[in-house]
Parts: sequence; structure tokens; C-alpha cells
Amino acid sequence: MDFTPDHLRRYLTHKLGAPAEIHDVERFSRGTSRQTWFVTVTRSGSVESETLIFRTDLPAGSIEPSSLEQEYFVYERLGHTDVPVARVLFWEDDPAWTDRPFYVRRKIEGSWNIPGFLDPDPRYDELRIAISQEHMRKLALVHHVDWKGLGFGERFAVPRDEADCGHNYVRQAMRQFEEIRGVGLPVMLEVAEWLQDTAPVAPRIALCKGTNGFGEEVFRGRELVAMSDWEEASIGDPAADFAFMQYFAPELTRDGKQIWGLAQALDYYRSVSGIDVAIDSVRWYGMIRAMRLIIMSEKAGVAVHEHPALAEIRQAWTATEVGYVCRQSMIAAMGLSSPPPASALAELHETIEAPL
Amino acid sequence: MITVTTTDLLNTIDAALVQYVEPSLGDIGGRSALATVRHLLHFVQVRIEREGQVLLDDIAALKSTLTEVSSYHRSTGDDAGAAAEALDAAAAPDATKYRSLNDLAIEARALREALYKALARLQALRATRGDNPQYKALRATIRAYIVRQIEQEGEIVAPAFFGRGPRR
Repeated sequence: MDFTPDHLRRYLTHKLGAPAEIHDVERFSRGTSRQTWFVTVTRSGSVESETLIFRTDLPAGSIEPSSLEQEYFVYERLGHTDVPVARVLFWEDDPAWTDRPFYVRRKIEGSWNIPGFLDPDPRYDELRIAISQEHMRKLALVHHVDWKGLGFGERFAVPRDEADCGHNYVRQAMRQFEEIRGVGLPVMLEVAEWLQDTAPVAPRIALCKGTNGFGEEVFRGRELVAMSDWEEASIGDPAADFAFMQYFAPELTRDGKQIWGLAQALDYYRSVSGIDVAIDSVRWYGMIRAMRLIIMSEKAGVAVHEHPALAEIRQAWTATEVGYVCRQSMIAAMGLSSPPPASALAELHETIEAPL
Repeated sequence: MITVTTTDLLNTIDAALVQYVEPSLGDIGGRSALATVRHLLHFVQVRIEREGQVLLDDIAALKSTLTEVSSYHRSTGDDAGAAAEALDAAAAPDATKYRSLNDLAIEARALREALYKALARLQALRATRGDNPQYKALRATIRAYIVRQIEQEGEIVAPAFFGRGPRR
């Protein structure tokens, strides 16, 4: 897609059926898996401008193994539920307008950033706990979605029953790895076997968001107004979402007393959802998370290897450090080595906009 | 003989990025990309210095592990399979010819692919041979290789990235 204002003006005039004026075009600097563009436009006859979000794959191919079309499907379907998501407007793959497909959704006012949340000062503890609880309430909404009624079962790999949930994630991860891999990684086979031997039983089969938490959602004040980044959505064990969560169950110990953490967040989640997620299951799904990150790392590596001039610099980073940290974390979780330092794991999420 | 080493050059390039390029960047996307570029430049520097030995060690370990896989299958009357083929294909290198990091990486990748296939085959045999001591010993050998290889990877990744600021 050509994101110059001139091309966007022509395209949106055609698509909206009336002259459109482009005010601003900005590529969102966060996110690694796909491109996100903010396009501020005024439609003919309107005095109000609006910002549209364009999502498209990276020129050398997305890091995420699932398709952009699946992401569009999730947003469209969730638009019929209570889950807060931006409304999708349309899908475009006409080669007359774009060399790779994209979709457009509305932008919901708010920010991924929550001032003070990462500040270690105890005066922000109350904010951290309030945000965590808000996130638990919204995850509960996701996990109660009628995914069968909405047609998710026809698009996603569905486990046979609650006991099959974990096995289904392992099968899916290995299928995706086989599809994208450049070279075999023996550790993937070893971990897959270990996970198959130790898979937990899910409390229920639910729609799961995938990557979630700080940086993945839109907040206005303390309210989570839009859940974003659905590219890793799945049908399975709600415990997976707690393993895929970034920062939103912070471990807070004050005067020797634990005032918040994953255990407290799970208790709160149980009180609002009625779903009992075991902390050991969350740890098990941490391995699935690591497997998925390795798949993304390998996919990024193949993109860099095959299309070095098209690949983005972040794909080169994802293909290197991210993959290593996940491999080391996996063998540590199996009791075969030491884990990478906690600081190194935290640094993976660090950005110049939100330094640690 | 060029006095300036590749390490010198990478250090000077990085200093130029900090001194001249970074201050001129107004938008967050550019500054984020530059942060990633600087990390990767440092990674390239560490790899130039250390990866040759890491790859040589890895190739030797892979050959040794594949030899054990091949011997196991022969001892059980199986077809020796991909492990033996990979070992045959990995001819002894000409000691008089310089081998670049790319050459070494290509050889290591081919051997690792063979080990991947060999492990998949062994996993398929687990239901019938899982209690066999030779089978268990071979699986332990492969597991030890995997751990050693990842830890070696850490020796070039950790000093290049850890504790050096935001990656993006």
C-alpha cells in the first residue's frame, strides 16, 4: 500500500464515495508484527475530521504466523459483542489500489500508555492494582464470548474438550513452526514432547486474546476502552491469556506483605468471571508463549534471509535476541539450565517511549 | 595491511550515529529504528569476534551427536537414515582454505536439520522403545547437545544486548 497523502486521498475518495481530505499520515511506532498507520481524514460535507487505522503486513511478510485476514475476522466478529474493540470498516485487497491486503478500522480515543504505571514509586500501587483489576474484568468478557455462535470454530483450531486444550496449542505451534521454519530447531521437538506429557486440563474452552496487557490495549484514564492486537487469538484455555499478559499482574510487596501479584489477580479474575485458573497452568502456558515467540523469531529470520532489502530492522532483532531468550527460557523451565536474567526478559518489552 | 580493524570501524560507525544521526532525528519511528540499528551493530561486532569458534564447536558437537544417532540405529537394525547421510555429506574441510562465518553457519544448519529429523524419528519410536536404556541414553545425549548449543548462543547474544537500553 502506498501511504502517501495523495494516494490515500484518491483511495478514500473512491472508497467512501465522496471527496476526502487527508490531514495527517503517521506510522505507529510500536508493534513489531505488522504495520499500523493512523490516517486523519475529513469527508466531504463534514467539519469533523476522524482518524482511521490501516493495518497491513510488513513488506517482507508478517512476523505473526496467522493471517491478517484472521485478525480482521476477529475484530469484525467481536464488534457484535460486549468486548471493547474498534469497529472495522472494510477489507481491501484490490491490486488496483494496493500491492498487499490491508483493512481499516476506526480509532478509539485513548492511549496504550498509562502514566505512572511503570513508575516503581509505591504511590502508584493503587493505580497499578486498579488497572490490573480493570484488565481482569475485560479478560472475563473475552472468555465468556459465545465463540461458537460467532463462527470462531470454523476459523480456529478447536480442542476436542477441556483436556485437549493444552495439546491443541502444542499441535498448532508445531504445525506453524513446520510451515515457516528455515531450519529445524531440535529444542522445539524436545519442548513439544515435554509439554504434551504435562499439559493441564482447562477450566473451560474459551476465546483467548493472545498477547495482552500493557502496550496492547487502549486506555482512557483508568478505563480499558479498546482491546487491540488480536493476531494471536485462539480457542482454548483462559490460562493462556495470563501467560501472554504483559505487566498487568505486577508483583507488589510492601513492608514484607504481598499486596498484589498473579495470585491476587487470578483471585480477582475468578470473582468476576467465575473461572478458576490455576497458577501452574499459567506457568505451563508460558512455555507455549515462548514457543510462539520462537516461531515469530524464525519467521522474521526467514524474512530477513530471503528479503534483506525489504525486511524491517525490527525483524532482524526479533530473529536474533528474542529467539535466543525464549530458547533459554524454555530449557530453564524444563529444569535443564538457568533462566535468562529477569532484567533481560523485561528489556524485551522496553521501548524508547517507555524505558524501564 | 589495513590498520583499522572491523571492530574499530563498527565502534566509529556507532559513535557517528550517536553524535550526528541521533540528534537530527525528530520522529519516534526514526529514533526507535536507530536504537535497534545500534544494538544490531554491536551484535555484529560480537559475532565477528566470537562466532567462529562457537560455530566450530557446534559443528563438532553436532557431528559427534549424529554419529551416536547413526550408531544407535545400526545397533538396533534400523536404517541409519538422515544422520548418516548428513555425516557423509559433511566432508572434512580443506584446512588450507579460510572458511567464512557464513560457510560455517551453512554447515552447522545442515547438520542441525539432520539432527532435527533424527530427533523427530526417535520421538516417533518412544512408545515402543521409551524404556530401552540405549534409547534413553541417546535421548539424553541429544538433550545435552541442545542445552549446550543454546548456552553457547547466549555467549554471543547476552554481551551484545543485555543491559544496553531499549531495543526499539
